[in-house]
Amino acid sequence: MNSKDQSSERQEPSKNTDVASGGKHSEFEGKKPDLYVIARIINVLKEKGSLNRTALATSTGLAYNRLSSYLDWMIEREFVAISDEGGYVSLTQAGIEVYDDLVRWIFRYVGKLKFPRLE
Amino acid sequence: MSRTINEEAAVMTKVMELMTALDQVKKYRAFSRLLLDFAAIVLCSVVLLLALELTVNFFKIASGFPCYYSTASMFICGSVVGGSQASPIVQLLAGLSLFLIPAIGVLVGVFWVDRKLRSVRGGEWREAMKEGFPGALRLLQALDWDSVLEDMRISKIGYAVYSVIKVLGYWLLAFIILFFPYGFGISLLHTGINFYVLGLISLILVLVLIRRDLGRRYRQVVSLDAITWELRWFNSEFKRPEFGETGTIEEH
Repeated sequence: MNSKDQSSERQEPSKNTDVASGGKHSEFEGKKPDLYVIARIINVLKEKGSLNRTALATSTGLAYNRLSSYLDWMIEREFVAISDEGGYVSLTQAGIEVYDDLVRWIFRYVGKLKFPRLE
Repeated sequence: MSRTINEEAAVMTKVMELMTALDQVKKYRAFSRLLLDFAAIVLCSVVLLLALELTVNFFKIASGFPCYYSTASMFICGSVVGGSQASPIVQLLAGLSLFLIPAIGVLVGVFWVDRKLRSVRGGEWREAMKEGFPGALRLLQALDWDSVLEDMRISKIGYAVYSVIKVLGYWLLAFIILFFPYGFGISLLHTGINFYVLGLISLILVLVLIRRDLGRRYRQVVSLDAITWELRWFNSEFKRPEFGETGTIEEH
């Protein structure tokens, strides 16, 4: 791929629909990924271990294309890894740590709440 | 790892408590809206009473005032003028209508509010909680704090207003119930009925009888207030986390 082609790809990311190939997360252009979706993916992988994309999409309740976008984003940050054989998605140590960070983050605030009982 | 699991469980418990409290607030909020229905029903009963009064007065004018009739002593109408054209039962009912129609209006209003309140559903969030921590996170993300705090404010007012209306309703009922023995007692002594004294006795009786309910409602308003402050704190302190470009969690 020459430099012109690369430039064209950067300018028109939405045209690249082959998100499963990795590295193109057009869904997040200009915005952050949904924290809930990432937590859901990590949670499912923590519970079920390695899964292929289809099984992961079913388990998380995400559309395949959307899941692929998120997986690409997570692969870039090494939260998940894809095995060469079978394309199984598995959680990395970085993925586990970021999930734990997230839980701690939320707990820091929510843990302080005290609710009197309402009838 | 186990610490994280504990923290996950704690987050879920807290979010469940939060959502349960918000469900209750939703009910109170719906209740505040239903107070308008309640007011409309009671108003209709008052309009009905006025219409009936006008009709009865018109009937009396048309038939040459067959019985003594004044709004302050309609009950006596039947017994004083037993030989009037209308039967004693009709006269008694006409006399009682001054109290009965608004009382029935209050009861219908209470029934209506109660029925509508039962139809207010909550707990939709339970499905999300089945997902575990991510579900709790989604619920927190989806909360519209402005709307939640506004609901809390209106709920608190609505709840307090309801308590006052309930006392007034019971007061009216107690007044009607006490009216008969009191009226008979006074009649035996051949003196006029002092409605102020009767009203005061009714009010004291009602306050004594529903003191526990009033105490509970007061505590509820205090609890609502406490929850409002907790949520205000949470809303101002809780910075929504996001993943930054590097994959680390950042404040929003």
